[in-house]
Amino acid sequence: MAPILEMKNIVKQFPGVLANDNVNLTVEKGSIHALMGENGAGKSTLMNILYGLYAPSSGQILFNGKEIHITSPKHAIEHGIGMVHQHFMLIPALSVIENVVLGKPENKKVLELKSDAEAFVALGARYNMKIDPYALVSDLAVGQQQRVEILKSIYRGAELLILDEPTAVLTPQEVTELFKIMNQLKEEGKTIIFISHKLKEVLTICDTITVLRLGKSQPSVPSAGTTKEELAEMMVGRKVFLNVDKGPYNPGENVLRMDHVFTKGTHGALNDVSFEIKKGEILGIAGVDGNGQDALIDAITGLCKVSEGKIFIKGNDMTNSSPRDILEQKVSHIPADRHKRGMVSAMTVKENMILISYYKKPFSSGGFLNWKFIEKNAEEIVETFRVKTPSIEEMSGKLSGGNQQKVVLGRELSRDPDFVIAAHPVRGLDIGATEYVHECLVAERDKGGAVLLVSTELDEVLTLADRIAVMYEGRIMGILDKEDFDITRIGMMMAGQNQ
Amino acid sequence: MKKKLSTGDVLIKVLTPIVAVGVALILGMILIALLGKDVGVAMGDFFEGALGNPIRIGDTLSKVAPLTFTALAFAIASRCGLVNIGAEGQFYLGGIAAGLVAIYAPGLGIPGIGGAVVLLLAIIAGFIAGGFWGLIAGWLKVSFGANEVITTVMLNYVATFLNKYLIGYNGPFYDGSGNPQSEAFKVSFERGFLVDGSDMTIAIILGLLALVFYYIFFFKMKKGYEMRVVGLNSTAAEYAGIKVKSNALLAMFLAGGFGGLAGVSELLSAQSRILPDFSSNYGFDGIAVALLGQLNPLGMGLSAVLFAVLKSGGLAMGNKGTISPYIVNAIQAFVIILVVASVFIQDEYTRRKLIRQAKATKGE
Amino acid sequence: MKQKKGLIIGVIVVLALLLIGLFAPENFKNTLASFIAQDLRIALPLAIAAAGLVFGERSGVLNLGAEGMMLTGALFTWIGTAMFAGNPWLGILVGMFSSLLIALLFGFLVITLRSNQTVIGVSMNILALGLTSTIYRVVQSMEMKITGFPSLSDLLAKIPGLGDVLTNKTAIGTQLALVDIPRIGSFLDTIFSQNIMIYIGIILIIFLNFVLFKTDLGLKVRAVGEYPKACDTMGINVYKIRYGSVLFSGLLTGLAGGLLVLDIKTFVENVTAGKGFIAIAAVIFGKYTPIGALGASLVFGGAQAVQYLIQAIGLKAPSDLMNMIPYIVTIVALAGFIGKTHVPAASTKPYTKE
Repeated sequence: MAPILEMKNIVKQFPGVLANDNVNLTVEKGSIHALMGENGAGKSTLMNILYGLYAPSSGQILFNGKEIHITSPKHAIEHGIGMVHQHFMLIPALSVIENVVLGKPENKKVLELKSDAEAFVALGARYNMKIDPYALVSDLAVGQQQRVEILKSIYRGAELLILDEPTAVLTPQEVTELFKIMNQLKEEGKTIIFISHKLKEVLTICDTITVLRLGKSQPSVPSAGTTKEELAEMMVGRKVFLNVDKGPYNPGENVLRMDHVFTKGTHGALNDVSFEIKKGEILGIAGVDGNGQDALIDAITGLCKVSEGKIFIKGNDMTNSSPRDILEQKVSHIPADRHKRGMVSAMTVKENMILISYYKKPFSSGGFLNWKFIEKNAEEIVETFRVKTPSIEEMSGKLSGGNQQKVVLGRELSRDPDFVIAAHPVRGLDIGATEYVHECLVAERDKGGAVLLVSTELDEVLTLADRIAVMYEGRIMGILDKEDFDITRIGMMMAGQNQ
Repeated sequence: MKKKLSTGDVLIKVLTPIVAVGVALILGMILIALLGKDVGVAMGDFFEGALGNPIRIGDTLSKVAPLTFTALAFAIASRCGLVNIGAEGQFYLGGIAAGLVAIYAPGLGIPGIGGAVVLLLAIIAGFIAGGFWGLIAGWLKVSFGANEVITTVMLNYVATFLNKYLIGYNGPFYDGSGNPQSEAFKVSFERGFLVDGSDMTIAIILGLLALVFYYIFFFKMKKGYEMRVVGLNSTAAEYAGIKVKSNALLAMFLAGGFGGLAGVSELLSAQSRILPDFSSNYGFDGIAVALLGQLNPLGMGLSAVLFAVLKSGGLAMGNKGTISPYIVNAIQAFVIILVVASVFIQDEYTRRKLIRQAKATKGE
Repeated sequence: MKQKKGLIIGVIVVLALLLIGLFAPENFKNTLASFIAQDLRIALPLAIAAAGLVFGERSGVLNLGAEGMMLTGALFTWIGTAMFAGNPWLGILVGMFSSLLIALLFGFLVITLRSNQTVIGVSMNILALGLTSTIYRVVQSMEMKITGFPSLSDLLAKIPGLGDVLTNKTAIGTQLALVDIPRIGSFLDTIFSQNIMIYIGIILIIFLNFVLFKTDLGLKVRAVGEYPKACDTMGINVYKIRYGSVLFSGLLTGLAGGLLVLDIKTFVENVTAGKGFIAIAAVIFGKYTPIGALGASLVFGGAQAVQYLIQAIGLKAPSDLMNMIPYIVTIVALAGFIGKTHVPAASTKPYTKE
């Protein structure tokens, strides 16, 4: 078959970053083609160029054998290219059908939502998808939103469909469903580019694989006959050691005890959550994003109210205590969203280093800040945690993502915590920074600290945790000891099934 | 604050306000010309009125204190992430409270209440009254999420009408003279400070002290640090255990308090009794002063002096009938627009620099 | 569902008015009728401005410069009307054009240059106050003859053939023919014999409501204010929609300013006196819909019309205190109803296309 798409020598230069460096990609018509790579390898950049969101610095795009210049998404859609972004491009406040017809050039001046809705429901039926066209998107579950996205693209005539990390938000069972749909689309002659960094999935569903590393493309390989190890090596450029050196598991006394905790709220509120974390152990929380992980962290750190139940930290009842009183219990919190919570981008590195402790001696006394000590302390943390910054006077927003995370990590771990809460601590980091963060967390555990690790990356949890608790819709589905770690079982629990 | 800045950055920081003022003045002159007036005559009246002789210079400088205070009213709230457009109303409340103290306290016959003590009481009363007015908007924001821009503007109107009522024919503080006004102040700041015969008073020193306080509070004290964290990222503040709401309330109280002090300094320096509409727009001038000074204490001090000149010159043009003193508002707006828009130019400059650097490293 | 609620409220209001008209004592009827007339008169500019601002806000731009645009529109309507020998229609076009220019400047600063919407909005007000007052002092000696818009009865009277059927010429002037209906006639005449712009304005607002919720353009406007990036990926030009919405809000705030001047038939410095801000509050109070904003404007207009009511009843209250009422009511409405409405998610956030 002829290639539907050829991207030749694509270069994209961002300020300070060369995101795509002479990338080549050829996709056959009617195939499922994987685009793999680590975070920051340039996958999304390449696809955003194809979808007309970025203009390439140089390079050529051939579509159905003809050279095209895609200057906007509108252009891409006209050519029959559709994209389902990792962060859905749906407007929560609008209904499904309003989202589907939004920006469609064929729209009449006065909308005819009713006929569109009928056609859309019929299209959904073809793929065994039942969707209420008049429901608000904000009322749909994540998996349903993804289906709306896929159907929307097809409804608007996509021949080539780009799926950007579509499985990140799905349970293993939902992934199977998705793969069914993908295969059906393939049979109908549509082409799919599947972006992922999950080895197993790619080998299961894709025909051909192209790996990007540090902005450069590796020669494509057929998925048949390729092994996980080979792919991993292509992605990282060296052998990967998925194991982290840990000391022996010697759990001590209780540090955190959750006792039948409930919180209020609609999405992902806690529902009768009970568990304990002991000294010298890492408890991993596995689960699909949005199943109560945020509420769990917020309840422990005092950022949201507990409506029922008790939370004990080191034996003290800290239920609904103020965030500060909880932090005072030598609790450190590495938040999920460092830009929103973990740091103040428009403040300097040294100012960010005192975010939690500024009010205490020796950082301040008598109402005044002690800048001399603050600077000395900041220099020390920068040194110890290998933060790459021109100086401690640099605005922290100007540092790279990895170094920003090191600022947060350094600040939190240098407070000598008894209990560390780490939420998605390596999200968006490159391999080197990821390894470093993991080493730090394990070191805390080996020193006798308790660590709560929340992550949606099952591999990360499996590698680091001593015990794993699985969350589903605000409930703890079960807690597994190391010897019971089993992906199928955890997958079932992530989807709300026990046993 | 020792900070390593490249010469380019420093140049841009210093040049921006100067260029902004220059361009704004040129736009002002063009406007005068467009309205068919003689720009030369207008400029002559302007400089003669603002800086023509030492007394006029002193009169001009007497406006520095209220301008500094209203600038602080905007800047303090701004540091905490709030937009206080209510300095005008806070000015009225502060002025009324201080004025009433200056009128009635000396007559109470309490031993030990001399001129200086009354003035001190007036200052305190003015600060608290202005702070209270700011606090209302803060409370509405914190408890109900009401946009503080709209509530502060509404409160400005309420304050002007409140003042009109208090000293109006039916008001409790009407002096019975046939004009809506209060009785004369029995105590006020002594005029002729530094320049004999001018309206200048010690209030200018109070303004200076307020700027020093602002600097120390925000950059040396833990409470000020806390407030800045709230202003720059309130989610991070919550995460760090900082109470966002109480900081917002305190910021609005302090901001309102300084707005009140603006009223105190104007009323007890340049006026002799409470009159209707005694502010002449100081509240809005303060926004321009603060933004031109980029919320920096030194910058705000300098731009307060500049705006004092603009204000005096504008009034002089108005008095001579050359052109309405309101032209100063237009010039102020030009200054704000240019300063705020220049952020875009600075961002573009940094962005281009980064791209150039990236290209240079790639070429190696 | 929502439309049904509106319809029910409408029917209840009409029934209540009919009952009052038929059975209430004469004194009460007259007072109420003139209160309603005053309320409509005061609410019209607010509602028109708010309806325009709904579009700006829905597209993600909080136009805090509304006050200034209204003020500019007011001055230039006044000047324009004088220029065109008292013709209010041409005059108001001049006013709308002037506020459009301010909106263009505002849009350029907040959309293209991505400047802070709040600060730029406030500076637009300072600019407009400075410009209008300066220009006003230059032109105030001009000969000004402002007639304002014709009333419904005047207009109906001019219809050939039907004019005499629909209206009555009496000593007071032209009245609607329904004044002859026993008991309720003059009550209805006072309410309905309004300036023609009130009818045009209400029809316009209903039309805008339709545009916002039932058309392709309206959908784009609503989407852009919620999630501009998503719109970008659907091939919608976010900047174009935002510019369009801001310019439209400028046009309507200018129209509102013009209506204000043509209503009081003179211009004074700062004639808008916060009405632009009250219009913004009406947008929020009215849940970001044109019809809701109309309802909110009637509430705020009523707060001001209360003054006339109190005078009519013969109560003596200091006018300065009475003047505070609309501002206080606005504050209370803002505090009481915010948080219960969905604010467009991208409100005040500049959009950067990568």
